[in-house]
Amino acid sequence: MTARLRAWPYLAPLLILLGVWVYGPAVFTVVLSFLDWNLTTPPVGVVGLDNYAALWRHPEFAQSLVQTVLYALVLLPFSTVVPLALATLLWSRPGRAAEIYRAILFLPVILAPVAVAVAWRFLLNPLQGLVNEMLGALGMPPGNWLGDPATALVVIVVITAAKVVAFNMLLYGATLASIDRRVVEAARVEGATALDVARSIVLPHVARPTVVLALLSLVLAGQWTFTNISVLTQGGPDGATDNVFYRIYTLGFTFFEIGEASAAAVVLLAGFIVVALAWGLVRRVSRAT
Amino acid sequence: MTALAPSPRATRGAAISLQSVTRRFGTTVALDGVDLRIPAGSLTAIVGPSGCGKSTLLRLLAGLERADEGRLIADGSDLSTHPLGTRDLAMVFQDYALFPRMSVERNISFGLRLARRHDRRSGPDPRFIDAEVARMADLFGLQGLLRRRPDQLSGGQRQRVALARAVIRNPSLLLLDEPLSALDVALRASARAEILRLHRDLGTTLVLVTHDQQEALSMATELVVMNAGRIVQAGTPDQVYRRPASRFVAGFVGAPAMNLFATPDGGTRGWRPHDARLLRGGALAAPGSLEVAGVVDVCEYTGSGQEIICRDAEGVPFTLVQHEGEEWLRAGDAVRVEVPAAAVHDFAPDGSRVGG
Amino acid sequence: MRPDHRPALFGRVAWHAVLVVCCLLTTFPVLWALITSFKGPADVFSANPIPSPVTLENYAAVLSGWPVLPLIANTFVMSAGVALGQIVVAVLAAFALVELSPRLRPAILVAATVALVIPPQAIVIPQFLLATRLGWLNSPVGLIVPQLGAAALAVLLLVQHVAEVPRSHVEAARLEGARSGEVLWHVVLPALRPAIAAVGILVFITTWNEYLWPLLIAPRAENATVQIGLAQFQTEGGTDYGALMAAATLTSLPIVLVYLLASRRVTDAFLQSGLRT
Repeated sequence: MTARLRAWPYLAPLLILLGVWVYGPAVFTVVLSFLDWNLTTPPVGVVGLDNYAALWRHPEFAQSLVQTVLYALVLLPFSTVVPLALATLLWSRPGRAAEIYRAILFLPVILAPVAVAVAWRFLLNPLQGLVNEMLGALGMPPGNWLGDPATALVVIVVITAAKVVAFNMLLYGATLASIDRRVVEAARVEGATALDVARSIVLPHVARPTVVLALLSLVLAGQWTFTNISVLTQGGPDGATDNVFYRIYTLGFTFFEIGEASAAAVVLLAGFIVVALAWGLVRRVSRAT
Repeated sequence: MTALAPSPRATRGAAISLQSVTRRFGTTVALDGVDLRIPAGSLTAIVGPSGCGKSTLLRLLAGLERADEGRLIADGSDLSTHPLGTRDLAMVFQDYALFPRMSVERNISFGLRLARRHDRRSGPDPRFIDAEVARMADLFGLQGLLRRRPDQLSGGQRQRVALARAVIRNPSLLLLDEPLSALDVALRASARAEILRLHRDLGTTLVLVTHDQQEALSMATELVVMNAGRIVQAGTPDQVYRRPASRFVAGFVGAPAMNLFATPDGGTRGWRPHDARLLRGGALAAPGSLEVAGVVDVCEYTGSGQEIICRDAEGVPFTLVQHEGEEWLRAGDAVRVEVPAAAVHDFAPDGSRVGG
Repeated sequence: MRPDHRPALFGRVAWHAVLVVCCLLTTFPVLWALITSFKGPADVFSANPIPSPVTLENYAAVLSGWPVLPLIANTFVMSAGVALGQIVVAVLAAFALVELSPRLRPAILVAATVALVIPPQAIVIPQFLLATRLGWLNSPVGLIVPQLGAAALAVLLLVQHVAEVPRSHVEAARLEGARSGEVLWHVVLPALRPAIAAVGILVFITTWNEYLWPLLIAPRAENATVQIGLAQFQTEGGTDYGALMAAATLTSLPIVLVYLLASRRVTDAFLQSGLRT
């Protein structure tokens, strides 16, 4: 009893912060989604589900939803297979060289994302950018990378991928580091090839982290691409690079449609909750078996 | 270690009394209605097997645990009115709990410095603190080590620092949790002697907990045997050794352990190896004494003699001891011993002592 | 016994080759930006990896036309403020959860985890409304305080480390009469130093790279962070790519320098955070 009383002053800062800046806003977003407001005039009043209806009336929202899924799918290999491969490579030959490569490959996590985006814009310039010049030198046709609806989304994913690969590579590296090397040596002595080692020793170890990373990637892909979208394409061309996360921003801060933006945010939150519940279910099932 | 010069703030030991103390952890009962009187100024050793509740009892005395039922009295005052940190006692933990990033000096003076901070006006002043630290350094042979950090000290040195930290506040009760188990065997004898000297010179009540009954027997003025959350016997080491109150105590205290045999009525009969006398040739057992016959199984040389494990007619093993100068028994020898009636202990089927 | 020398050597060369290629792929954009930043306007779009001539005019243009120092200063103040703030909040909370009322621990940790998972875009509008109501638009306070909510991650990281402090040390301090705050200061905090350093690094870097919140709360050039400043520079500076690359390089430089000095520390810090989540 007295222990509880003593704890409150220590817990208060955290709880106040979480309450005021995270949970409060979450609740308030839901409230806002039922209001009709454009930030300049006082809120008009409760308009029920009008905002939600308005969302569906605009094809852009549906498009952004679809593309959120698209982002998730295209990013998936970059958050699982690629970092795993890199981590495995680094793990297979430990030493000074691996340390150096690891340090370099981790850079994208550290680099200012806006700087990276800007650098890419320069490279991808359709008229004089290096990428098109190189392609031209190889005899291949140039592309309007960020300006062509057919390529823009993939380009954004690729730009975002470096950071995702780098971070997940680190996580896989930690998982691999927990493998006892003597097991590998024993297998090698018995004549196992690299492929055998990969299949029977490495794979079981990374199965679970892969599932977790895949899930996180699917859910957070839209969020991770936000900065690049904002700096490079602003959701264009013709909404080709839009996703729910960016749409919320556009609705709220470009059009000042607070009600609609909040409705979109609620849709996003609902999606998160569904995924979280599904995840909890999967975990409970996998733990039982 | 030098003897303590009489200090103006001479310590006197507290008399502790536990009354029907019970402590539960979930469904487990760690202490079950414990009644115990710890005499003032005694060196009380609490022994028992793992899980018997001795550590819980010590922690209760320290204030680290609270009793669910019962009362804890020290020198007449109810300890429950004195929460953790306000009791006139000190404790040395099994791992010594020295603060790793503080020097020896700051470790020892920690409590005093806190007291000063809590009460600037009437608390200890820096000069007093320094003087006391120096006094402790002399007492425990820590001069020259005051600037060091705990990780730069040996096990024995760390224990002395922990003791110094405990003793510097002149507590009327000193608690030691398994004080010797972290030391290697060679150090234990000297550490035992130090603790005994400390107790003698300080006059404080010292309560220590150990799983080593030899240690307890050799150091204690008051021996408390615990099992399964209860006190099974409390008394002087001599009393406990000579007249164990139960089968459990009989088998637990003393090494080599008492030989115990089941009797036909479901009880137990026992005798200590040291009380048995070898019968050679055709010598007859004295009238009234117990005669035991068997065959030698294994002999273990102990330096000052040997311990012999024998088996009787039913194959039940028993232990004998021989001393330097006797003719050694060997494996396979037939052996007969007699045990005087006074040295035979009888226990009822429920384990309690029968007879005088 | 190695069966055959050639496959082993081939493996090693291929290994290096693949990794070198990957390194180039990840670092190429910034490397090229760095190179371009030293190129004159005529040279900017050439495929020449070496600037000819090497010129500093881009940097001159950026440093004179762009409030570089205020931007870096703002970003530094924000990142340091958030890191410090989160550490304080997290240490206090972690201590309370482990030592003072462990029964609250599971509930609070769940609350912290959930708070971390909520997508920022979903709650950013009310956050913005509240911050502007408080008058924090374009101010350091507005940059720092709302981002302290992310201390949830720091709490999750530190709780583990606080729990690892030996109980006997805490109990010994309590026996000597230490109050909770003194236990925290004398016993727990010294043991927490490496963990605090790791958390500090982690939070500092991620806050430095933050985009969404600074974009909303500090759009004005003099109060903006380097990320926002650079984004604005891009939209305004239009076609002067040389200067833009110089600006991008300047933006990335401080953190990269820190990283090169202590890469191990930094990766360890990120690793711990990743493992928690």
